Amino acid sequence: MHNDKFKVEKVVVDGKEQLRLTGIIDEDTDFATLEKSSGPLYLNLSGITGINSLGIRGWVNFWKTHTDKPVFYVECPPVIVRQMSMIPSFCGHGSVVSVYAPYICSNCEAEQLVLVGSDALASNPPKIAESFLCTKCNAGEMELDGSPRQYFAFKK
Amino acid sequence: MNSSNTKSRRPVPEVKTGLFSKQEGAEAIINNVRHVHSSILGLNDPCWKATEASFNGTILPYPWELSSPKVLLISQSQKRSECIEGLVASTQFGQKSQNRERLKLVTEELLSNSFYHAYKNQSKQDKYERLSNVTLAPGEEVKLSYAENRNGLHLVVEDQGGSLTFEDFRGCFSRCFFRTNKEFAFDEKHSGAGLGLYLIYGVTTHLSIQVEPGKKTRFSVWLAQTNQFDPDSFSFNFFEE
Ligand SMILES: [Zn+2]
Repeated sequence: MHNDKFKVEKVVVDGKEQLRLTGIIDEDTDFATLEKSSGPLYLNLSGITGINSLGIRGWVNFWKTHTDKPVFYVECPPVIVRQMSMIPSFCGHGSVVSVYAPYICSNCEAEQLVLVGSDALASNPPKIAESFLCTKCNAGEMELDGSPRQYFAFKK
Repeated sequence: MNSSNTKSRRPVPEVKTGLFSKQEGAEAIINNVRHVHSSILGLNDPCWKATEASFNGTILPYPWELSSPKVLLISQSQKRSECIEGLVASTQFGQKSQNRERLKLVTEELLSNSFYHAYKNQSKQDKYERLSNVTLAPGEEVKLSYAENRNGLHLVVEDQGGSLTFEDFRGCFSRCFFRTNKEFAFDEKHSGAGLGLYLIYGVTTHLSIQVEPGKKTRFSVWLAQTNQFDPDSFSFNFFEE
């Protein structure tokens, strides 16, 4: 069945091939497209906008039966990071390369995603900016939206 | 104690109060604890006081239950996403992306739980098949109500099946999470619903479930604003009438 809620496309970033996943992971998601590529798999998850329990089940079961190639998760958005923190085996045998951390302005509530790369993730808790000036209102401080302990719980 | 209350008095169940993590709370639930309250206020927490009072048959509203909620009745499973998008767009709470994501997840999982697992046929199997478009029979409509203030959003989902038992709920948690410390053990048959309930517990600040067997299940949820969100302060209650 054609599913226009979920898309997979090849992109090249810094000379490395990545598969960019976009849309919603749910009961209709067909993970077979991820099978076709050979070699280490770099999955860019920045375009994932939602996931439900049936999608999580499909995802975890898929990685259970595809342990043969190395998998790297790149640019994981908050919706994915939250699942990684709640469900110990969400990442399967894959490694997390980078995640987005959600910041919010204490003054104007502007939101901004900040990429936390592998260097920052190497330490626990990850080395992230505690706050920075909001470029929208130039008055408020941007701070992590929520508790860092909770957000980066997948690191433990 | 007032003997006139005897009729409605509930047996005092095992409870867990103090300061602990969601994972420790989940462990307590797996070990049969139906009332789990983590708070820096301990036994002075108004939320705990409401739970405690209910053991003596006194109904105090939970502090997160707001008055005059908006009410929606839903009977078609395929109307679910439309309804969730509408709910999210109509709230102040849903304007922030983190809140929006949590609200969508909780509503989707609660509604699909109601559609696909609340109603049973005579052989006690799910009456409506998951993955199919379902129209609930008259009288089975799922009621969704919500209200918000600056601190967060209160959401209630009620079905007319009343089939959830604490055993089911507890089973979901043990299957989904804690069979071993690291392994996420899936039960092919039940993991959809089980995982959904576990996710709801994970993203909500307060979760209270009231079941009238064969009649009604009522999920009452409080989602605190992320900036008000204190990971040390949450509660879980399961009441079977
Ligand atoms: Zn600002």
